Amino acid sequence: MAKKSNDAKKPKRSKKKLIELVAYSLFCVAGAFYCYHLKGVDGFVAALAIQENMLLGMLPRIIMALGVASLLWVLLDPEKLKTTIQKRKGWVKVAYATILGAVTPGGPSSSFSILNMFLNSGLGYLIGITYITAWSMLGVQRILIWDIPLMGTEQAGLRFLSGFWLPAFAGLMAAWMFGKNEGKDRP
Amino acid sequence: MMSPSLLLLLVLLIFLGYKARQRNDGALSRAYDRFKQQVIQFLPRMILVVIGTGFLLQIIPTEVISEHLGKDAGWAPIFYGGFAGMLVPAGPAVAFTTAATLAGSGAAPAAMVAFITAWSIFAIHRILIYEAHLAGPRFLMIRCAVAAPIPFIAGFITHLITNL
Repeated sequence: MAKKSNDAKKPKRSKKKLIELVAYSLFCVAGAFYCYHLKGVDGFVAALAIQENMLLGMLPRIIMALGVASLLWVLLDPEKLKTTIQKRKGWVKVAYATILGAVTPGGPSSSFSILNMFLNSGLGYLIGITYITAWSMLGVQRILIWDIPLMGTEQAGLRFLSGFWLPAFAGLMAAWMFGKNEGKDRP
Repeated sequence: MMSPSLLLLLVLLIFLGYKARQRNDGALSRAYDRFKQQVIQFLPRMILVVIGTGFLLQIIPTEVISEHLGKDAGWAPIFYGGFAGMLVPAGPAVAFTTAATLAGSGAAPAAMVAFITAWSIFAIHRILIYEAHLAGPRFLMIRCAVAAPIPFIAGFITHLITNL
């Protein structure tokens, strides 16, 4: 039964990917058309030069970033990290929740299931909010795959430097304003 | 010459590859399979994103961007970036293309930090598809309430750092 539903999901996923690729291609064609229309041949050639520079600079970084993200995905065990958090106390626990959020591999389905585990095991808003905020804003995978290649190391570093403590701040605010644990009305 | 980001990635790749090899449980080949999947999934998108960004950088009037989102515009770009980031209803390709285009057209780093942070915390498609169902409405409401100032705080700190 489960296999059947997985098989049904596959064509849907590849159809979604195909639609995405078509949409990106249309975006490029529209960009090319407007660029030529507004800036003429010189503007078009200048755009090609920018693209060449960006691609040559980015491709090695993207390939390496994908390699690093794949290795992290294999090496990190969310279950083990969760147990580690449960063993800690006070500030160390919050720091661990931030680190775990940042390094959790995979997309929202894996991070939200870890969040549910935290909330169901009584770790409360402090850890839950810290973890999910760290996952969303400091996710290493996203930083490696998107942030560094597209924005550059300096901009990605600035974002990390100014925000690494903010998930803990959000968790503390949630615990202070809404209490440590939530009610029984969760799905 | 090798850029610092490339060097950092290379060091990480070698270190993690060594760790995976040390485990001796097929981790390295699993990572390679995952790598191939990721390359197929991301590379075509990234190439198209770069091509599109190159054209956008030519079309977008840089004077307008510099005037309203540039370093000289003061604190205002942080608010524009933060609120705009909250409203982007799409994945990383669209959000980062927009950010890279704006940054290339003269937008201040603080505005871009606010923009990306706001998008990453409040990605509306993720909230609707995952968070509302998996975490529940009360948790979602609390998270949004406490996380709302974060993009702006991150932007202000970046502004202070870049204007030191």
